[in-house]
Amino acid sequence: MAKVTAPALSFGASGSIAKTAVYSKWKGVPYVRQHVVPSNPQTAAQQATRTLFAELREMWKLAPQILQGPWNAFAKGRPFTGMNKFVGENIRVILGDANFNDFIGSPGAGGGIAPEAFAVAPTANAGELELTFTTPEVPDDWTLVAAQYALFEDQEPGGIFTGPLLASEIAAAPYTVTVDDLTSDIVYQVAGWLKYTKPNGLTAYSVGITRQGTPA
Amino acid sequence: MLKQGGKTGNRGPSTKGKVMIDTVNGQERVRKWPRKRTGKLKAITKQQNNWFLQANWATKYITSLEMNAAMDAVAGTPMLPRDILLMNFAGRLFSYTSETGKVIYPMASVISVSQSLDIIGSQPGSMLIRGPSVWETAPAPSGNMGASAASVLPRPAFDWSDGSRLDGHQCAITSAAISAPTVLNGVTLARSATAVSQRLCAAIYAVNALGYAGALLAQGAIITAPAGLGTVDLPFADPVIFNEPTPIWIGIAELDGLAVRQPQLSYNRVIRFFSQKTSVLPDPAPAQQTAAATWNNWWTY
Repeated sequence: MAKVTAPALSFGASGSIAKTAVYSKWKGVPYVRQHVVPSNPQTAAQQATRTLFAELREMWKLAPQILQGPWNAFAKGRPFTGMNKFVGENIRVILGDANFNDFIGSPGAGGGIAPEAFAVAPTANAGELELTFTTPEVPDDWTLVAAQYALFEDQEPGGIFTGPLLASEIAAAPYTVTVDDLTSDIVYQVAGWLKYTKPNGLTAYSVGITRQGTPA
Repeated sequence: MLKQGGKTGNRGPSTKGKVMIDTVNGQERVRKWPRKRTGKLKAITKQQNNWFLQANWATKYITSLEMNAAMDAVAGTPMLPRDILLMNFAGRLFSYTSETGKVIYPMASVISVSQSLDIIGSQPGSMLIRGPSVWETAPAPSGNMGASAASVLPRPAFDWSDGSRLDGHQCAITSAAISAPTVLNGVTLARSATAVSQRLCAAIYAVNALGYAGALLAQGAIITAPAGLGTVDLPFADPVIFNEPTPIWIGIAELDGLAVRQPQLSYNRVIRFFSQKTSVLPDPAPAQQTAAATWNNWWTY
């Protein structure tokens, strides 16, 4: 398609003309393209992608700020949104799976270093999971701000997302927390990552590590 | 607008020559509108794209040690730590130096150098020595565990000694030649009045490609003998059978002091005398050679 620079009748135009040309704007960039009717074959693969796309969109809407933060930080200065990245990366790894084991909680932004280890284990109490972060050696002048995590009940991708989608953070060592009030004998997907402050004041996030845990 | 058209889809005319203005990492940039790709991606392009995608994800999971080293390496440069890591994954990074001065060599660099050295010698356990003109492969060790390497005059000859056999003492050695099929039982040593050592050991060796002592053929036990004038039989543990004329080296170890004289080979219980100067076994006449032997100090343990 063509990017327009104010030709006749196109400055700020949007909409189709005579079913031949479509004028629009995306991320502030006006463009024009030929009017087309999508083929929409409605194959099984297309439907599966669409339903997973919708489910991930729903997850994004329900996601707390802690879960959205790394994705928005990654998208900053780029021609896409955090939601675009969240849906795009997770569709790539989850499509065709029977669960959310490959869920990506954080794409990593700003060069954050991943945790050395992230463990999820049930406690002796019912409805509880203990999350333990092993933090890496922090680079000089970097500050480890928090260990963040998100968790939700595991389910088969491609349906309607059934929440809740919880997220929180641990602001100081030891980076261990017990999450309670969970449903017993249900598999939870738990994603954990680290948040840093760099010497220049910018925030960095590590990539997320996803584990599964079943409360007693 | 990266979506490819479907079978019936058509995204319009070519945009070649147009200008694209966008923002990357907060920096506004102007570039030529990307050329529309014609047809499907080639398999190699897909493979490279997938590799790049996976490599970028892999950089997010590396250890803090590697990340810190990469950050140190790019400090003060416009490169990102990810760039160093991707170069490493692609095998295009030979080395980089951290802030502490430590030089880090990726495994790909190690493999490249190793493959180059394989041109000279690729057998496991090979050693390299600098020859007269180029680097060469040293002879493979022929002894047991504990063997030590030695350099023989005139250099750069190089060979191995079986250090576990002659117990770490000065060993004098001379060459000989078995002129006929025979069985060697041991070595008889004729000693002068000034001989000091009271503990002696003898061995014979095959001749290696360099003309020096090679594989150990036989060795006797350490024999205790009085100092001074006399002959000492130094039998081998097992007789050595030669089915054809064979050059050998004779080694004598005096474990207490030096005063070695002419060695004599003991053939089937018949003593035969040997002169090092001729390097040929004399007739089996019992006449004793009087010429003094010239010994090469072979190695010291």
